[in-house]
Amino acid sequence: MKFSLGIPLMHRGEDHAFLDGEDVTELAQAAERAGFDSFYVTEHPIPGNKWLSFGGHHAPDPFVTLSWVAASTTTLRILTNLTVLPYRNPFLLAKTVATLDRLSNGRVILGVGTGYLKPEYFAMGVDFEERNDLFDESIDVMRLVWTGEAVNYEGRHFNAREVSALPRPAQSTVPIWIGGNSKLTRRRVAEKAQGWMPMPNPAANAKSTRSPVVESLDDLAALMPYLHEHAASVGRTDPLDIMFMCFDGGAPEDTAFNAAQHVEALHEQAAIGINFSALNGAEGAKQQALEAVARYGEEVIAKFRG
Amino acid sequence: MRFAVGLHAQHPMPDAWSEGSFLAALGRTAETAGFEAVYFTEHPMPSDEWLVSGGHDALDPFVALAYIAASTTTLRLFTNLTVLPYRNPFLLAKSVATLDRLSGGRVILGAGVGYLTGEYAALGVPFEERNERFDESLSVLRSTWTGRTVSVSSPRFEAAANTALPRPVQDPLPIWLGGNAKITLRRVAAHAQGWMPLINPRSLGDRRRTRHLENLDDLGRYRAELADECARIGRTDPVDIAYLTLAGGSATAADFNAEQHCEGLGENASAGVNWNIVNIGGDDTQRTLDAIARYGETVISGS
Repeated sequence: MKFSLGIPLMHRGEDHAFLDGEDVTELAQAAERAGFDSFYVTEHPIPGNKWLSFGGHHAPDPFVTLSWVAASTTTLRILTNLTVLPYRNPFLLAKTVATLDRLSNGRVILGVGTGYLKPEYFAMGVDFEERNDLFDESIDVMRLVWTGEAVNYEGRHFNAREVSALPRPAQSTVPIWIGGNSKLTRRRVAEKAQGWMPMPNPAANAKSTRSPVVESLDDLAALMPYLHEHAASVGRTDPLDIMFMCFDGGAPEDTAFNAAQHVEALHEQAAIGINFSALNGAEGAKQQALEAVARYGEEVIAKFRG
Repeated sequence: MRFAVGLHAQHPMPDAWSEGSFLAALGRTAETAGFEAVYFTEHPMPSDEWLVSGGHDALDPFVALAYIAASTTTLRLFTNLTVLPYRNPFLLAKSVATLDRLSGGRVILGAGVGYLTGEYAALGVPFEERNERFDESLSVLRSTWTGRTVSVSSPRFEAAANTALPRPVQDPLPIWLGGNAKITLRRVAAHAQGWMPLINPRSLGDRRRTRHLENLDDLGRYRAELADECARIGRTDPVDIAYLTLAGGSATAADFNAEQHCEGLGENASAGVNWNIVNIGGDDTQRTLDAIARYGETVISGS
């Protein structure tokens, strides 16, 4: 099992958020020391107020933040978890990712999703009904751009003629991980991605997130066969990374955190093929968040080494 | 006079220029040498035709500047320049606010309208909408950065009641606009903190789609228009003016003449220029860093 730490979400707005550079540096370096393999940031460029007032949250720009993280660390991989592909022009995104991959010496994992927040889609000026077509187009275009060769591509909303972008990314294949639980997502993962990020998705949320319910490991296990069958049917042989979250035993910032129970649950996850575990950083005082990272390293990550 | 340094743009870009260790060294060397800003331009998806006829490759400026920001303490982080209509204004607002917050308020957003139709087409932005989108972007950036509810209706998007945090540290966040057009000068007076006149010799023809600017007389004429426009709308706070001088030759060259260069800077200063843009860089990374350090010793320390 490998581990990924997320920058604390901004449910409290700018209070206690890791936004100042030195705080981000401390957190990222603590994650690297604690044995986390990667560090992630989500994105919400311009969320709707209604969602914000019903449990939503703000987020910094993931690529700018991860570039800062890359400069402050040496081996930690940097992951967007996740960026909403249809929000972004694929050429601009390809340039952003290629730059970050070069500067970080090949440490980027591009986690992507389709998104589901209509008011944010409206603000971004992106047609929600086109989201799946735009998503597929974006991955195709980025892969083309990253070859460094001339691109000719007539997209739904652009027309690229003999254009090209250098530098290329450092990695010959930038890993793309796709988030979500739907069958369409699993099909895309099998066909064109390097990883899958299923989401815990309680029944109460399933309508707004437009995705199958995942409340238990059994729910998740039930989604696996199609992924593997489809991968086999398209002739895919290279392995897929699968990242999930683990809430058993509580959160490491709570004194009642039961590490043994948490570790046991992670072993159960590993048994069904999950090989990455994502942990959201603690939202609260900085020291508390840093201590939770160190504790998690000692009491959990250490159990999976050697 | 204050100084901003950027890498001399090339196609293809030397590999080292996209290495993190080199950018960190670039930032630290520039800071030590007395430069107050480092800048990057942008070309997300240029046409091959332009690339082979004097065009150049570019990094994502916000990612590159964030990397340098983490490696420096006071150096300002300057886009010179980003093409506003290329980018969704909310995404841009978020990138800038994040960088400003991370860096403790060190961003200067240099912005222009751009002129490469092939790049516009690849990015799916109608070239004929460029001015409309430019003004819209300026307005959206400022309102988003308040951190309060944004309600904007446009032919292109509909933000009913949306909000973005974090806010930038700086208020106002400095926006510098590039170009020589009358409309640019009007925008500078009304919306910006700085102006970046663009050297634009007649020999280039109309390629850059802005008025020609060959010498300080041209610059002075445009600056007078800017002053008139500021007076007309009652603006009193000063406008930064960032320009360059070719006097003394290339700062990277072995025969760079610092004395002549300083004379050129003096003339620029007399014309109202208060920031000097220095393009530095050869294929060799150590020579590039050495040239930055030398510029600090021979030019900045005496200015």
